[in-house]
Amino acid sequence: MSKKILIVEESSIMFSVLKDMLEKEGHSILLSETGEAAIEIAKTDNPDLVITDTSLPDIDGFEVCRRIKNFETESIPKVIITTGDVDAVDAEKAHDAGANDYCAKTSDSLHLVRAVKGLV
Amino acid sequence: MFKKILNRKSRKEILKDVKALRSKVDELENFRVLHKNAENAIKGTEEELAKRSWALKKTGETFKALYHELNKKNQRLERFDELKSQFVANVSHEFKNPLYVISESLSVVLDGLMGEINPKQRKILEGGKNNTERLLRLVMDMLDLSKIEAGKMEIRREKFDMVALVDEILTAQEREIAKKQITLERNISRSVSPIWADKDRISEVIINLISNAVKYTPNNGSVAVKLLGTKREIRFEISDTGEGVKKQDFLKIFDKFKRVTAERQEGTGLGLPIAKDIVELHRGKIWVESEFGKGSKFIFVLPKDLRGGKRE
Repeated sequence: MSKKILIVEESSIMFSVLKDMLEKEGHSILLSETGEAAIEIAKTDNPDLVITDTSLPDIDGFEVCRRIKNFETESIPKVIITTGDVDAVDAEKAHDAGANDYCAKTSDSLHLVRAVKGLV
Repeated sequence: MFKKILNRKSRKEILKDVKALRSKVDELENFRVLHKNAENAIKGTEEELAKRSWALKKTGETFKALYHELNKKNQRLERFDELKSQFVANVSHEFKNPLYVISESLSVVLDGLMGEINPKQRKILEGGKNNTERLLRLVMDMLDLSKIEAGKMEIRREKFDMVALVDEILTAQEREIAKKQITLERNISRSVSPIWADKDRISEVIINLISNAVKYTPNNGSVAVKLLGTKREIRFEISDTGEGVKKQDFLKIFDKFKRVTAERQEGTGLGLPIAKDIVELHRGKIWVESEFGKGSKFIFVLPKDLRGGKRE
């Protein structure tokens, strides 16, 4: 079923890879390159899912997740935090921020698509 | 009944009982609080554990994903490396034949088979021939190396006489040795029995070591060649009075990816790495001993027979 997905990603290459893959699954895609803008878009456009990178030019992905999860609206989007590094502490941080999933960014993004399927 | 009790117990005693009851109630309340606290603690720990195990699971998954990513990149790099080696091999191969033809044509003219040539013409043609031969050596080195890299260098074992081979190579170098007035010391044990090895390849190694020694030894210096055999092994040593090799370069000079004497060396700088590969393909060992400034000694040891332990 078609869902609205917001991708928060600074790298345009990574974004277009994700966009292509998720559009193929039938989803509609929104983009934000910064954390603050992502929170605004999440408020106004009410996406079903937010996929955010940990490192963004302004606030980090954990903060984006935390603030989205604190929305006082009826439908709070699900959040996947993605990372280029691997660190157990990061996974705990993602959990503390209320993320629904945490996964690595790789060139094929297959497991990310799988994670999306598991959530929406 | 109540009266009965009242009768039996004095007011004082009743007060005492009430007090005892109260303290029991307090005690129970304390227990309740403790129990609640313990429950909360357990719940907290359970939540913490759940969080940790979630984090561990996610980290495990990310590791797996990144491992696959690395693996994929590695495979691509290996493929590129293969293509590169193949390219080098093809190019070298394409160069080889035309260079042979040029070299041979020049020889024919130089030998006077096409008629007399004057000294001026000879000089120019000789320059051409020397450079063509140098190019040929480079190409052959590249071919050898790409064969070794591709695992395609084959060792064709045959029985041959090392003493005769060393003699032959030294004789070929005599002119160069005499030109630099280098003293040549031969210490070749005549009793070395024939070995089973790839004659052409071993000959390549010895030519390389001898010509290096001659090249790096200054005029009026000396070069010593030693060949000895034990029951199982054959040992070749060549010492020179050249500049020597610095200790930190002992391994580097055999490494095809590192050039130690780039400016001085004419050639690919691949001679020693190739020699090492050849010796090791024979299950032998090659190394250098040197004190910088005093000269160096290159040694290689070969098993006499590498036919899987079979004896002749």
